[in-house]
Amino acid sequence: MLAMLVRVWRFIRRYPVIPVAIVILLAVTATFAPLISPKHQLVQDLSKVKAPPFWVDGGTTEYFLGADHLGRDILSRIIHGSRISLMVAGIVLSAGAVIGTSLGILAGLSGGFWDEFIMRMVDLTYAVPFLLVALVTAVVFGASLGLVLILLSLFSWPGFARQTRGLTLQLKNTDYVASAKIAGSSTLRISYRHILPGVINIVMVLATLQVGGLILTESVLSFLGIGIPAPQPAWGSMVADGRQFIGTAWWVAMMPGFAIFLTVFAFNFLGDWLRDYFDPRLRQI
Amino acid sequence: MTRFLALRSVYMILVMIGISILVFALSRMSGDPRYLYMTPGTRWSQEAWDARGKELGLDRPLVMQYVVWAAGAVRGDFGDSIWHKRNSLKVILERAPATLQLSGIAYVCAIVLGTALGVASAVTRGSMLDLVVRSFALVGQAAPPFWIALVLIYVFAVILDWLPTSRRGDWTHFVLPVTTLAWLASAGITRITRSALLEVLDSEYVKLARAKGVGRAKIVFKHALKNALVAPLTVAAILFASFITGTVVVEMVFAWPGLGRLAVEATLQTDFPLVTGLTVIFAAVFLLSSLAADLLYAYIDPRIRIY
Repeated sequence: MLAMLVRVWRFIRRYPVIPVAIVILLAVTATFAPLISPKHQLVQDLSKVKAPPFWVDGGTTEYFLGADHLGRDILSRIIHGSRISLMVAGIVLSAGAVIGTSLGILAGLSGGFWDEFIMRMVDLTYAVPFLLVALVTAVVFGASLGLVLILLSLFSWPGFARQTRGLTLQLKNTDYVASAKIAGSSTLRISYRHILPGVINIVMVLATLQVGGLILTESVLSFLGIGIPAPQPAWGSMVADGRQFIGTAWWVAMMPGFAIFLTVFAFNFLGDWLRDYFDPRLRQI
Repeated sequence: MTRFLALRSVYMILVMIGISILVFALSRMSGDPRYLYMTPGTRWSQEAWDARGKELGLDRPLVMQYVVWAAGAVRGDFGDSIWHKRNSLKVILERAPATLQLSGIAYVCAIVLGTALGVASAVTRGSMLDLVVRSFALVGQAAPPFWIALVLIYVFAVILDWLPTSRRGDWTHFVLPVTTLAWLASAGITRITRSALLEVLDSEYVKLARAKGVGRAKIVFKHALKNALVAPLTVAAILFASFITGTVVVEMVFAWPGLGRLAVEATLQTDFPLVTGLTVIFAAVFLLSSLAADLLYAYIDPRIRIY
């Protein structure tokens, strides 16, 4: 029995079991949100305003994690919120990874003007304070899901571009790329046949490492009221809703905040683990 | 070194111009600026409309409008704030001390705490202390800033009733906001200090020192730390970026009358001159601090002076 426990413990220490479990749970809740959530995420029940979670005095299992200031079920809103968070992360990372990787390979392969131009764009993007640009654009266009997606995508590609360019410069000088060139392959063919398979691992690791940060940033935007507009249950705006009731109904703000924390924690942990697993030399990124 | 400095400065000015064009373009995209000054529901006569356009320089080509705006911005004139009905720069300068005080204290705390914890956990690798420090850093990196702030408020203000929750005042008002900011900022420093020090402790020259019989404390503080601190130092300078986000959120939660709160308020009130002014000033501070970081880095580690 003890030996069994030791083996389980070793397995947990060696592989990211808990983070993977959390990520799978999130994927399930996000995919099947309408089927799983016990109540509708937008329906208000004014007799249940600020109903406490089941383990607090006066709480019932009907409202498992309690109800918010409008009598909406917090658990259902968190489940639907996971949909928004994962969707934002997924779309932004796909866009960022595709744009960044393409530009990085282009910069590395072509060199010269385009290389210089793309890398200066990378520097420029790093030099712009993101939150302030987000504030200005929110004033101009009004807060919306589309705006959040575009803004985050615009700021997520440089990391991919920089890493891919560095790797492309290395791969460019390998013998197999030289032979492909001699055999008459076009630059386009070389980039997707010979360079892309060499960089895809790092792109995946980088993407995983960025998920946590992205979810955090989106939650900050929603918290400040310039992200996903109400009444959509974004985790950040749920915390903002509960802020003023912290003295009387702590669960309204604490529950969604904890959901953000768990999610980001799981993705960060998984990203670190993947990075070390694929290539310990990447520790700096 | 002079060449490095010159190149970096020119580059910084170019980036600044780029940001100002971006901000200007965005502010013009929002529609005719005259609408911002109109009281909703009222109408202006055509003469008044034209006169106001002339006053704001809207009858000139867009490029000229930008030049006029940029010339004003360089002198610190971003136009009158629509909400406060006063010069934007004045409003900004009134709010600046609160933010500088808060972020200054938090910044020092974060660096001291971050390096100290990083060194402590690297030296005692694998111990209970190491585990605690690493968890502290992991939580700091994964928790949203507003949530940490709310948890602290709930524990220390609601349950224990030890500390005030909002606004400026005596030192007790600083404890919670500073803790929030410093926790978030020190998380990254702790992790980087730890891994850098571990790497250096594994290097040949440290092994040599150990073989020669140098004491453990002397190895860490005299030999290893100098090389290990280069990495956290650059991070400390880059931290300014995350500090902008951090102060905005923390000032919102703790009702701190600083620049971050001003920026969000101005956004919600669509107060354009104020928002653009804040953005330009924040960007300038941000660029200057990353320039300072680069210079510091180049000064400390001559190997990177490749320009």
